[in-house]
Amino acid sequence: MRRPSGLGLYTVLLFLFLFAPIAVVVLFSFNKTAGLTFPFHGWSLRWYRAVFSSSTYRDAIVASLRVAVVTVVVVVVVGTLAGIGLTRHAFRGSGVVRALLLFPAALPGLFVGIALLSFFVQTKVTLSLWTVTVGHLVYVLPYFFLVVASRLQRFDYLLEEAARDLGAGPWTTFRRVTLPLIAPSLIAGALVVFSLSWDEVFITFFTIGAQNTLPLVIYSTVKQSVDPSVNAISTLLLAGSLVFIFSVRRLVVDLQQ
Amino acid sequence: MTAAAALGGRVGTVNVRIRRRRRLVVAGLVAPALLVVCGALLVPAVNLIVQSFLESSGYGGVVYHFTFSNYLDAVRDPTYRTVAWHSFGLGALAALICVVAGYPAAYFITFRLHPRWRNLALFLVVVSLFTSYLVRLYAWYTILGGNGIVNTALIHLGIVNHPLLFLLFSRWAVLIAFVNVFLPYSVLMLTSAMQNIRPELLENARDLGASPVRTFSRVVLPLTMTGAVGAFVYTFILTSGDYITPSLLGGTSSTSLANIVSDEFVALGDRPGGAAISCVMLLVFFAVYLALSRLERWKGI
Amino acid sequence: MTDELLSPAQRITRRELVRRSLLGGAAVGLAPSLLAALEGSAAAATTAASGTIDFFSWQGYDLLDEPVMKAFRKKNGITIHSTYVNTHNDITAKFTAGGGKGIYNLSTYEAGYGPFYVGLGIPQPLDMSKIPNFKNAHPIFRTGAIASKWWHFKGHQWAVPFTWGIQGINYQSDKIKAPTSYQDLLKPALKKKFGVTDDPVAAIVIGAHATGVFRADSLYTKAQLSKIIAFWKTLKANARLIVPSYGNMADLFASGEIVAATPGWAAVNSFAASKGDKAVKHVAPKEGSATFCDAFFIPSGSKNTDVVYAYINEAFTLEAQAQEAENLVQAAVCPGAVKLMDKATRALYPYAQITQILTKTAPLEVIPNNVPKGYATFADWNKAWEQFKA
Repeated sequence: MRRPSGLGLYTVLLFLFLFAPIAVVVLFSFNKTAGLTFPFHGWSLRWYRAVFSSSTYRDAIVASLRVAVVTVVVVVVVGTLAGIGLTRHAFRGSGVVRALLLFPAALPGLFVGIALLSFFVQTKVTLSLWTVTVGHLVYVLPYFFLVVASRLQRFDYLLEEAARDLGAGPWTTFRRVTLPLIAPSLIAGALVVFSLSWDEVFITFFTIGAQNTLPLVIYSTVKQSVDPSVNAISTLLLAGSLVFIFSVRRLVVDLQQ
Repeated sequence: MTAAAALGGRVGTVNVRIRRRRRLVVAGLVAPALLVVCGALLVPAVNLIVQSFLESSGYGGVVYHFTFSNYLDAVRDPTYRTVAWHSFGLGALAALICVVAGYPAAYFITFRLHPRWRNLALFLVVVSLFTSYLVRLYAWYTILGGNGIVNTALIHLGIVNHPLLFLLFSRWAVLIAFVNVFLPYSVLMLTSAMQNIRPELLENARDLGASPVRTFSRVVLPLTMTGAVGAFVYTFILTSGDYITPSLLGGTSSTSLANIVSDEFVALGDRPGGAAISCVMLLVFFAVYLALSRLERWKGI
Repeated sequence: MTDELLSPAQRITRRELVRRSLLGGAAVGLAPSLLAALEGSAAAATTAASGTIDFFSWQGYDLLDEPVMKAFRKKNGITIHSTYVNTHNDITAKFTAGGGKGIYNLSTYEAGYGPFYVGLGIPQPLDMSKIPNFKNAHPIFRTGAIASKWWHFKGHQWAVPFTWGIQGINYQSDKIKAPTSYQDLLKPALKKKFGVTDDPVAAIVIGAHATGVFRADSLYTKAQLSKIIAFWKTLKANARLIVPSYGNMADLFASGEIVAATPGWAAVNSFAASKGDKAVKHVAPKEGSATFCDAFFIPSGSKNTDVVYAYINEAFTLEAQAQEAENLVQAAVCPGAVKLMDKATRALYPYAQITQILTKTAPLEVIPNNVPKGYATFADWNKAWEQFKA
């Protein structure tokens, strides 16, 4: 920055606005009382203890993890294959396929949710974490596909050809050449997918069975009766995801070297 | 390939075989993803569209009798129409604010910041997305409430005597929350669009004597139009299809069109009715998207 | 109304219970549980299911806080997974279009919904030999015209009523005087200081009282329904917000956003007290109020019903009934429980005149699912309420 500019000041203010609710969430997670309004009555870790000893939160975290992990694994495999198929070989109808894969991103969760719910109820599928996972799969696939396809478009195919000329089979070429090169993007994509699934509430609301995911527990708490333990769990998750992003960045940098 | 060429006359059949095998490989690569989209979205979506033409027998039941009345109800009902205006209006306003407010920040981040700081800024934008959507919504209770931060500050500073009650539980509150949640997406999309502009281009424009406003409108805007349209449509669709934010922050105007769809669908068990309204919603989204991408193309010329 | 008279031990909130169990050494760290999640979570789910109740209804009706029920759960290794509803429509929704059958094995319905729900195949017939304690309930809930109208018909017992109460106005007693009429909410002093609860049935019954068209059989013409909705729209114009749930109402009182709300629910008094706001009270205005009676039912297609039966049966012990009445600020159905209550809880409801109340002065809400031509149906009620909210 050469001189203090109006634009810079504006950007700082914008960041303050973005982080205002987050600051409030973190601050009140340390509140001594159950209130969520000022005056702030003093510091305490009671809401963190409440989170750690609450079976509701524990069950919800477990449920959310199960959904997110399965979603990530399936989407990474399926999305990478599709990315390779579509960027490498132009074929008739590839535009249509591409549009189809990106289509879910242009739909509100409400629509995906009611379409799936009505389908499950009609086909007598019992709602469970699996039905939630189905919804998440289709919701996150476009985002992963975008990340991977943009990497593959910049991919230098000569490297693969060189490997093949040296006698490597297609699988070896993929494992030893292609995969290491696109791994950082796959990890970044997986991270995006994980965070989207982890925070999803619009589709989950309709497709959930008896086991609630974390956002659903938070939703019913917010709609029913809130206390700072919700702030505490959000703060923990924020801290957790920061650590997670940082370590992934390290991993990505290492891989690139 | 060279071997195939040497074989002269047989090259055609070999090519066909290679092409066929390649087609098989591609099909195998793309099939799983297509299966996911078809099984988990297209089939249920078509099923939903079919239902929107059936008759409801109430509480989850449908009668297999073709009718157009759900659509007529959806379009004619004055309640729906009022709510639809509010939902789409609020969504469009939120989307517009996100794009307009996002531009200066994206510009600053892309062209005025040292790459090191740029990465940090973008990282912060991403981090702001990592707190639960719902938790960020109810944080506004604490900020905007009658005893909230803003009102307490205003009273302390002697600007107002009584708390401004319209701040929370109103369309304002919903709008503020929408902008807060979706602004980061706009900033990210606009930044990524601007990264395709070579900085020399801006310098050239300045050297040729173009004012900053002119540089922006003649260089930056046309080159980032795709990103802007993308950000607008994304925000518009997700905010006008939101059934949670209005119900938590909307006060006496807490109903949204998405809320009505959800109510029709689950609370009243009128699947065809809910399906019809949601299909109309989708049509509106589609129309907005088409119109804007037209606009973008026209602007491009 | 009884908050100030409750002993500290009785005012234990769920959160404090959580903390006590923590002090008792039951603390389980987050990290191990996360690891467990990635390992044998499926196995854990199946063993826990043997004693799991999946509850879907109003907050508090899972009887989590009542000491007797707590001890019973501990002794028998019963875990409860609760999902709370915001409105009664959520229950209808979950067990019809919402795919809740076979997932939840305990729920409740308000009396008026009985024939409606049975028509939709929501509850399954109860095996009354597994709920022997139901004999403790007042005869009016077991035999006779009222019982056979709402819970026992078509040759089966579909649900067992366990609590009843009235719905009027909740108010912040240290800030305003008790409202005596719904019209009091229109006073300028309350402008933008009260909430209207998103509870269509209670609202329409209350609106019928307020506009003078109330009928015990809930048969209103569409014109009368419009009049009722018009009444609520006048209130809405003066209101701060539409309150999404009764639990949320407690928060709004505690944070000082509202000083009154209607339709009310006495249980909100104790919800708010656990948030540190001990001054919320409930009052029945002079025009009349809505009377409800909630009953446990087991959804058709439920699993693990034995544990559910045992839990329901325990809920009809006199101690459980007394504790529940205190905790929810509602009326018990077992006359024997009255003497176990503290004075204030006992004084809340005129138990001696129960027959008189439920048959004459404040009959239970009726859901008009099957009405003669010309009257508003339940679907009309819901549509009208949707229109009110818009």
